[in-house]
Amino acid sequence: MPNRSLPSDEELIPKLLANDETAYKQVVSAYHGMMIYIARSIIGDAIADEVAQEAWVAVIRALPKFERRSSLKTWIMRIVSNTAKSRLRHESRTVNIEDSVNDSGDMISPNHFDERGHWSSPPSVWHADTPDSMLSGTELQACIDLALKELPPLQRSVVSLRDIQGLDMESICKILDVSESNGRVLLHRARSRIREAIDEHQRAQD
Amino acid sequence: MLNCKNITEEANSYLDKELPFFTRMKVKMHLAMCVNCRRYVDQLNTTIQALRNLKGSDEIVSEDVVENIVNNLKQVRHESSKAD
Repeated sequence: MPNRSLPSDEELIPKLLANDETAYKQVVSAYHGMMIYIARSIIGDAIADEVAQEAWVAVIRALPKFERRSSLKTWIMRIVSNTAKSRLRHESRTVNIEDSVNDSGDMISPNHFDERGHWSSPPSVWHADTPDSMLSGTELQACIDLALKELPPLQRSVVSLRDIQGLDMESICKILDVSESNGRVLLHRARSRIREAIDEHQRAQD
Repeated sequence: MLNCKNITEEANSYLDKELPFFTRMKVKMHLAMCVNCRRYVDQLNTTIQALRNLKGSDEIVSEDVVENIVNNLKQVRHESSKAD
């Protein structure tokens, strides 16, 4: 992320509170891209920009009350995530934003196993077993992109932030306002679902 | 003894190196004997690597966009300080 030149939170926060234009520019340049990314992962492309801009306004309004229990960055990202989630709830009442963290939680369909928990329908052999050779195929990239798009919003956000952006789980859970254990369940389900999508893609080529 | 279904449930934590020592050993022992579970874990690992290889957020934010947001924020601060 392009925040190498960003001053510390201790330096930045008083300047932001004092309406310092340079400080505004520094934080917006450093974090706006990431905010759009988070908004997009939760609510999709169409209104991600709008959500990120709305979140900035919320950030500036809430800043005097910021208690510094996390870094400024994590706090800002949490605001964008909350803004996106409330828009999602508002726009689509049928979407279960919590992604049913509490359901049975099978990482893979139980139909693949016999009653003793052994494979009855084992995983098929993939044609290309290294990520590099797999990703050189644009079709497969499209398959992963589609699988990501079809994930429930929080699963998509967790896996995008963890595996694509490389954030640590603690920050991700703070940003998305989920417990660590639920965060892990969401991550595991998302990865398992993407593995299945690749598997289906590989089988279709047979 | 862990069965194959248990292995698929533990696979993510195994790959993230988050399993307690003895559970990790049990998973390793199972994987040493079971080609199907080995394949499953390898595929999950490949999936994670493939995700890591996807492009991250190198979202380029143009100066104009930054300028617009900053102007808007100054306005918001101005209004809220008047309201205080």
